[in-house]
Amino acid sequence: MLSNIKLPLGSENPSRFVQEREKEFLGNIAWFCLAVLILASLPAIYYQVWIVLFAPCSFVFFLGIVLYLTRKGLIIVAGNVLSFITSLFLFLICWMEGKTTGAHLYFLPLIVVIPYLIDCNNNTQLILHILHPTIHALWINFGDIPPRLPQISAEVQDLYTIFNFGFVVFLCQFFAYLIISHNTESTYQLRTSEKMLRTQNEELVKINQELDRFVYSISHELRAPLASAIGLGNLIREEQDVDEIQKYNDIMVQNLMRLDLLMGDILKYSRNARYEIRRDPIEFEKEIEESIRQYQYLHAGVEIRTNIQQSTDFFTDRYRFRIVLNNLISNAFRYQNPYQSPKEMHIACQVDDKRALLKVRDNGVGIAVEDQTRIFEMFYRAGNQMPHVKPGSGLGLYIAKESIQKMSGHINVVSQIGEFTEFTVEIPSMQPVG
Amino acid sequence: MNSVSTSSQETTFSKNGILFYLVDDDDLFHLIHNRFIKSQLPDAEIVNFIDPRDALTTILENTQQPGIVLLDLNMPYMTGWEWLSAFAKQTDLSTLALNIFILSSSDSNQDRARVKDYPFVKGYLVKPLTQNDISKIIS
Repeated sequence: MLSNIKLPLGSENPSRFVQEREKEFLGNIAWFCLAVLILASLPAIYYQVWIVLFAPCSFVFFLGIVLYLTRKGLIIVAGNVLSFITSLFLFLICWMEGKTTGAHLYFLPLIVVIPYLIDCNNNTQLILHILHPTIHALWINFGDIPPRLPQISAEVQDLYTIFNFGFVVFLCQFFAYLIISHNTESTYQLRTSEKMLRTQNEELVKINQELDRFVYSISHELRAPLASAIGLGNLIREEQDVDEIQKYNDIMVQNLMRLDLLMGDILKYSRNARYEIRRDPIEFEKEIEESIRQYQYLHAGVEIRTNIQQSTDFFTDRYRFRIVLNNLISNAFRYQNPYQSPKEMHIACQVDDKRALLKVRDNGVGIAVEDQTRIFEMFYRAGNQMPHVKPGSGLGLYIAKESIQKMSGHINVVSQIGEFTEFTVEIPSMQPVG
Repeated sequence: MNSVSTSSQETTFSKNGILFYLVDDDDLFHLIHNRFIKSQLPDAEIVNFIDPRDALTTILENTQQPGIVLLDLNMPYMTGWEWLSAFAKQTDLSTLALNIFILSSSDSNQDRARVKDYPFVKGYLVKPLTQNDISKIIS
């Protein structure tokens, strides 16, 4: 029931994913800004006006700051710095070259990309950041800025204008592509995480309901022996007859022992649900002998036959395997038919390198057909009218089944009332990891 | 067959003794509650049922007779809730002379809240019975 709890939350945190994507995006844009500045300063370099190089060179310094801020997760600050610095340096380059080379056209892709660098929820910030390059661009275009480059021939000038124009168009397209693909991927990722969150949520709700039911049943089952112990204690207080007191006392102790058994089983159950499965070598002969020895002294007079065939090594979780084995063997002892003679138990086991097939058969009281599917349910106790059998915790077979499921095996029962009961367990051998 | 009368040695119901029906699958609680009720109300008549289905047929025949039903919830064949639904379906609740109480080992709010679905149930008691419970039942 609770065995399938897994909490993949955190491993694929959607908001964290989006942040990672934004970091990557901002980093890319920052490198493109550097490229824009270098392209814009090419004409000046051609005419050996080295002072212009100051702009892309100092930009490299700010690029470092922007990338550092991005890595630190301060994406909004990094975007602000990037937008402001690029705009400023581009203006400086244009101002030194004059408008004849068309370097101010590079403001266009910059303006396109700015809304993606700035926190769009803050309108004032956004408007300021767009106004900044816009004013620069207008100033260069319409302001009276003298050409500072040495006499530039009309041919070269045309060539640069065409070159820059082409690049601006390319950059605009490229930015648009980058933005759209970024958006598409983000949307896709958000949808996937949303879907995943929904399934996880449904699973958690289901687990929660199961947990509620579990706690409810447990509280019922734990309270019953406790309530009878309290009731007996009250009777003892009122009772004068020493024999009666003795009798009540014995019943009380029995009940407390039942409670103890139940607590042990609940612990086993929670261990099974929580602990990772381990890979241990299993020697069936030894395990079965050990298990029989544990219960044999309590139930004398049962003839036990074993037929164990293990020729290869077999691996599974030893702790869980013992839970299953002990449960089946102790049940076979407990539910013997008092009127049957001889009382028999037959344990057969066939092991190869792929799987183990274990059969535990007794000629005891048997299980009614309508109970056979239900005996594996939590707190289901079949056949309440068996005066010679002390009631169990109602968890034994339930835990056995859960344990077998953890070992990727399965369990079946065949029985006829008053005749026999046979449990069959099949467990695959665990392969080494990796 | 499963209804065992442990009401002292007399076979007839005494006029002034209160009649109790105990419905519980756990016979240990029959012992405990019989003794306890006897110690508090020596005149009480107690009829025990291990199987809730037997209790249903017997009690349905005696709904006009004043008495008290102490009903467990967690039972095989028929839970206390199923018992109450079956009982309500087969009897005229307006002439009901019986006082029905739940007597369960569960003290969960879930069960306490569910009693409200059966307005003819007089109360919810948690095992084991106490003197307080007895005085509540009698009043």
